[in-house]
Amino acid sequence: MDIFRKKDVGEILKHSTPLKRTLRTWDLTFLGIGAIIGTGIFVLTGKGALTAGPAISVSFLVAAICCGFAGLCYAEFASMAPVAGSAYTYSYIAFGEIIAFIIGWDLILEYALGAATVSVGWSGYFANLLGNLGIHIPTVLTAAAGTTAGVTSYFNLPAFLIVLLITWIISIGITQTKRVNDTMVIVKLAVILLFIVCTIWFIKPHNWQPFSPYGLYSFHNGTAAGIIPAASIVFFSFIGFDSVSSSAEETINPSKTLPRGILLSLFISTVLYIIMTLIMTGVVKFTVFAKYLNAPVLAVLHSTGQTWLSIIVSIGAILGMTTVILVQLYGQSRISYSMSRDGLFPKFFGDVNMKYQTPFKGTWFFGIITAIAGGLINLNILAELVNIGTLTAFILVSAGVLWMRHSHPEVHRGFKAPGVPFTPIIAIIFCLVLIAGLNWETWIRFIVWFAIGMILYFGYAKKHSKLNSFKPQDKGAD
Amino acid sequence: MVYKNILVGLDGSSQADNAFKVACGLANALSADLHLIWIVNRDRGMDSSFGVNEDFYRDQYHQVQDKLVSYVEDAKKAGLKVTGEALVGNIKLVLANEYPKEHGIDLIVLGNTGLNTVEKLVVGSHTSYVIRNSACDVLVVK
Repeated sequence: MDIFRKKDVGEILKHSTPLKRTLRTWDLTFLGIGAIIGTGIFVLTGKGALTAGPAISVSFLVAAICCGFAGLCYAEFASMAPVAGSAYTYSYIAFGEIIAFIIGWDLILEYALGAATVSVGWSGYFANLLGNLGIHIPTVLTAAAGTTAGVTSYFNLPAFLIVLLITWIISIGITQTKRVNDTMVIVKLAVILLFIVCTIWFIKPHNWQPFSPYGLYSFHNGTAAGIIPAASIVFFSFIGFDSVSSSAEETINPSKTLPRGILLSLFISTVLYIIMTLIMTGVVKFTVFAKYLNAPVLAVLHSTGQTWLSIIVSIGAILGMTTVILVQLYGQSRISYSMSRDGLFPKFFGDVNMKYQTPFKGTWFFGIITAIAGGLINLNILAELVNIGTLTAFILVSAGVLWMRHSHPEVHRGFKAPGVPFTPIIAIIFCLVLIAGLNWETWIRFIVWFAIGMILYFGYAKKHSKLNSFKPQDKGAD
Repeated sequence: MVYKNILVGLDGSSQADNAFKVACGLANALSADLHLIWIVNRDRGMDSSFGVNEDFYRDQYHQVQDKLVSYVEDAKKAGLKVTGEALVGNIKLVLANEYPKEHGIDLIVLGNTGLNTVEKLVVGSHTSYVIRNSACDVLVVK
């Protein structure tokens, strides 16, 4: 039994449904900005600012560059497959079963904990909104244990409940239309622009001194600090940018349009992020964010006394984050579905409910786990794990692009990344640097996660893989 | 006016099966063409990183194609001119606009919604959307 056995492309090609080419540069840019902006900036800027000081703005730039190179590689990777599919399925065709399993296992981490991370931020803004209405949730029930030093908290009840509510919505087959999604993008952008316009006047330049208190990389109170570690955290703010990359088949003239779309959407969101973080660290001293870890933007608005604006920002953030949790939990149930269909996961996860046409059981299984994670684990741990999972997936994808150029130069590619071999090599180096910037506890947690995955693969998946049934004739065929 | 092209939306529910039977009877009486479609719902608003949803849609699409076969055969046995198509897209938009426009449909036959009150509130019934937004006549089979 070969752990690098591959799925047959013909199997997938059988029913290809060619997509119409309709997307132009600005469609892609809007798509990208929509996927990028909205959660990281509302949730992780506090932790980022504590890690790098005002130099967090530079951290955003570093993370954006990493995403740019990784995005180009992913675009080529996605365009190699003749039909729309997931990164998991592509790697099953191109690189073999074990790589596909690792990517799928990484994506489960990304999606489940990504949704949990966002739910924690959601809870921060929700509690503020209720507070403005005079309703106060007991502090012990607003955050996981150990979130803020000196404040006793046990469980994040709002985060737990919102994840369960959204799980229910998804399990009965509700989805969000493109129009609702586009509206949310505009709401998020409007909130950010309003925030910029209203708070830029309160900047006190002395708060920017020292600009980079911890340098590029250093140790402070036993945790990694500086520009690189902060970049590793705020990388989360860009997750989702690759949705542009998978649009090669729907794009007019992809070789020109696609890189423009990726780079332009990254550029615009990075500029907004940099302006926003410069304002945030300019209005209040960056150390203040320690008290506002789950809802950092509110630190600024409490300092300027703009309660009305904090209400608008909270509503915008809550709306935007609700749709992000929805999309993440949905993706979570679909990736476990794909793996179950191929026999790599138990049948339980692939069971589609007849009435609702959803993987009902898998949705609830991961929904409950995500809800518990959102309730019990604090923001830093969650976000770092999401980032390490996603960065690893990008390393595998970039390495795969490099390797396929070398071993299968003849394969059709709807889009070719410019500057190969340099682009994938730079992407891999950047991803490794960002992984290095995470705390060592995160590496350990990730290694444990990875080890559990390998036990599952060798103990279950390899034996139950659907590929076992066609083994003899496919052996040796490449 | 006599209906020439009758569209039936299928989804495996007993309500939709009733709609199919009624539409067969109508097509027979009016000697109209029968168009059967079964749509896998895919909303672009749910697109996400690493394209993880696409495999699910494709699998659903294959299954729907298989399920459609028996309906097409039944209609052929009844001596009707029939086409059956599985589609991936936004159910509401495809049923109410896209498909009828492309195929010159003049009557849409649908089953009454199979949702309970709470689900209707949050999902919104596909049938009521089509009634409100379709340019051609709609027949709802109870």
